[in-house]
Amino acid sequence: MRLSKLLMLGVICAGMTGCTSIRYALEDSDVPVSLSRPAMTGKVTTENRHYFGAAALLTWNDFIGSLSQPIPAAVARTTRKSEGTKGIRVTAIQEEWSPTDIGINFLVGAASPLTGGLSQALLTLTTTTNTEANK
Amino acid sequence: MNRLALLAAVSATLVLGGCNRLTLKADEIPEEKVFFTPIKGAKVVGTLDESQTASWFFWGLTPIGQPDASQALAPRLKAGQRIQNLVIKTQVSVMDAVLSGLTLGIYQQRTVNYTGEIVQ
Repeated sequence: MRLSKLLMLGVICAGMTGCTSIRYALEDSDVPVSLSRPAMTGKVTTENRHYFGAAALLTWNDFIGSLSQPIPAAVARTTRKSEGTKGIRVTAIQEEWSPTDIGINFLVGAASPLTGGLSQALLTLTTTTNTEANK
Repeated sequence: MNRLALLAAVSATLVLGGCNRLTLKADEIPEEKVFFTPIKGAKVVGTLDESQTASWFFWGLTPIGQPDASQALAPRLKAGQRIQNLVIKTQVSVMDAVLSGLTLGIYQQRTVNYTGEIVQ
């Protein structure tokens, strides 16, 4: 491999580092939130779509954090569904390029004037968080 | 958009929908052991920093390895210890990007990082 190609690969790899990063954390909560096995006490499923910009090199999650932080969103939804809960268990987390994401990503890529459709100006990724409320 | 592009978009959506699926289960983690929130009155005795990878073949269509939170977290805990302020972060690391680039995406992987505090 030529040095220039190797250099280009290095730059691309370095640029991709940390891309499409998703953080599962909770800064503040009224009730304890744990990661544990399911107890089958009423599963609540929360879906979030995450947005990444400029060929996923730039994570927009921090910019629009309130829209795309999966754990706070899942906790809020579970609390709404189970009033007076004493605690919340996160039992599973899933990430995937859903059919909607693929559709969005394809259309944005095809329409991207900056990249000529070769890469993405915007990427979306979907997370699904399963939670249960402690009775 | 011409007909060919539309056909390509529909085909890509059908084929790739659900690709690069990463599933993080907590089936083996006992209750009241691992918390995203602080544990009241607990004393910090250490820190947690573990990594795992999820990997796929064929452009993300065939999963060949999935992270297991219990394997990453449980071995770090001695009797009576728990984890608080857990943060799980998934991302493409340098090595993930290199491997994906060298194989033109045929092999892909994604890194899962666990950080937190071990408390007694």
